Amino acid sequence: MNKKLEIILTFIFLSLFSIGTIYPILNIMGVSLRSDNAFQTQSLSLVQVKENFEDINNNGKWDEGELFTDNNGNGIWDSGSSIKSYVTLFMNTDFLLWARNSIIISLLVTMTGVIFASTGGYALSRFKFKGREFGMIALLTTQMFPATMLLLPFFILLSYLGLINSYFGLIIIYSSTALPFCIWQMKGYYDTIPPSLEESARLDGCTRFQAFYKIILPLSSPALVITALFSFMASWSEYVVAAIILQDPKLYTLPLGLKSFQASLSTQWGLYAAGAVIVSIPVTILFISLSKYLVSGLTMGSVKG
Amino acid sequence: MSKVQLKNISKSYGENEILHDINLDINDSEFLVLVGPSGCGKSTTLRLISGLESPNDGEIFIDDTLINSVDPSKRDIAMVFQNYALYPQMTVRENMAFGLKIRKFSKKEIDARVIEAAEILKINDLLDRKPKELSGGQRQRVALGRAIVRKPKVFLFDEPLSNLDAKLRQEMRIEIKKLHQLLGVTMIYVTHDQTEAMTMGDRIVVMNNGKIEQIDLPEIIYKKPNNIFTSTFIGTPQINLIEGELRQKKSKWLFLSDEISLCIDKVHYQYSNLVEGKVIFAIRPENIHDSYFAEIKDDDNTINAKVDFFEYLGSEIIIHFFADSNSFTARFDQRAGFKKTETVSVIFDVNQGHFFNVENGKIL
Repeated sequence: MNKKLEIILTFIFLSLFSIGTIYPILNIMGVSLRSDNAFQTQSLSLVQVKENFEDINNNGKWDEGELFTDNNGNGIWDSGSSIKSYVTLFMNTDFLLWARNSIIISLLVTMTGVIFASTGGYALSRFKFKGREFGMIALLTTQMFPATMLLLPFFILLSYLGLINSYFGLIIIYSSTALPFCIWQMKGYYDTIPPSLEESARLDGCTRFQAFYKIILPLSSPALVITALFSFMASWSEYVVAAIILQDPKLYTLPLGLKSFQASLSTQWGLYAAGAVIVSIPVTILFISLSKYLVSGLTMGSVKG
Repeated sequence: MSKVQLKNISKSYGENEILHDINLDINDSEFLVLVGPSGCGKSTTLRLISGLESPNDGEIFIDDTLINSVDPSKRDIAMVFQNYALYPQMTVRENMAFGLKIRKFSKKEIDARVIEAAEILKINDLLDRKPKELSGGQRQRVALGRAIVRKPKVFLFDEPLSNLDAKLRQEMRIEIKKLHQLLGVTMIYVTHDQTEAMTMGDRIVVMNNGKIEQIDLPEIIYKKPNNIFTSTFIGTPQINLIEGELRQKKSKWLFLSDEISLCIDKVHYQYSNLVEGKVIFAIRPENIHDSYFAEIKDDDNTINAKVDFFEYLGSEIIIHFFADSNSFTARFDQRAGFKKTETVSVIFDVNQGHFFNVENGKIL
């Protein structure tokens, strides 16, 4: 009986938790489909329904003054859900430009992360050299600082280098914040691969690099996927650092661009929400398609065997 | 087919000295076994020959060519690892062909060599499988095959049978030995198993604490060990060691230890080296006989001892005796039926025993 009760309670808790997690996302999708640019509403419905009205002049459209049933209590007549916000986003804003910038920066950060993390992790795993232990601790220490604490130093550093308002400056910052975790993660994964594999390859005629490239790298694909995903995500949806570094609107990334829909007096919630939905799609697709690597990449090496 | 020489080789990791002044000559086409306890430096010696490690001191030669600074990939050496080290993402065929592909052999040559090696090792039907689909014995064969296709100057084996069960180990021992006879290649084999060492090696190198204790034929190492370590490491059950004294009475040499009194004949190989004083007498269990079944009686070397316990092995019995403060082990015929604490009359075949220096453990 206790076991049954436990299962029921667990199920209820998980259901509530799932609803609590999914509802905000569905709500944003609902906002993106609204015609009235309204964010707050008394209605719980996610999809806006066209409200009934008295068509006094029989023109088929709602005109000012005509009485209507205000279902969601927002005080204005709603014409029902539409994809107007999405169309406006793509046609009348610089969304595609921001997307291009985000894609370029994210891909470059991903490539940088994968190259440096795979080679750096390998060096830390396989070679014993002076400063190795210190270097690993130093890498870990950098992760302890919150990003906001580093904003001013980042700005000063990039100013000196003349890299403010540039892709390169942003890529350097994103890479340096993502790399420590990625290097540690790759190092941990390489530690699970027996060194005898490379030794065998070297005796078979491979140089050190060939043994790494032909044997070890293919074996570490789950960890490489994690590195790529983490690097991509670190840059794709990052706002604060981009806001400090990028000042030219032509260089804006997606988070910066979306923020521009928010003004001091009003916010274009429809566009904001539509943009948020579009921005989340690539990451969602990546996560789903690479989910099988996620578990193995993150947990491999945690248990001896 | 090549000869290998190690001259004054030393290797340390930090302050830990792993190998100390190793000198070793391995003859062309020889099957040499390095045997010793864990941590004695035998695997390190192998790795130095392969080039995976570099010595701190000394020189390594293959066919009189100094190879200290030669990269492992250029030494023309093949190695079989304890954990097989098969490339998991490749099939058996690709594993075996890998080394030849790197060396830019033609596809025709690669295919021919792979098939040839597969036939020798009887793994033709495994060529398209991945390592994870193979059993331990099959993986070991593939590892051997990967070495064979290269036709190297020297084969190195780093405890290749350690991960196999006893039955498979025995089968693979024979396979490897047959392979050696077939190929006639110089093979250097590392093991901690003295049975493997004794059955496989043309010569055995017994190592301990980074030093070579003795290099010789298996028979000589077994019958005439240089020191206590070698005598105790080689041979199962372990050789008996009895502390006592040598005394010369008239023309006879006697070994005395509590209730044990043994008379040493002039035919003993150490007879001329014997000196009065404390010694350690070593005798193998098979050289202590049940006086009831012994073919030759020797009253001078017969003692009474009590049975402590025994181990029944089917074809023989290992009996643990004690005589006053001394304890020793004997290997008797399975017909012997003793009870615990029973007093038994046993004959020591002293001429097969050895006398060691108490202080340094070396043979007198």
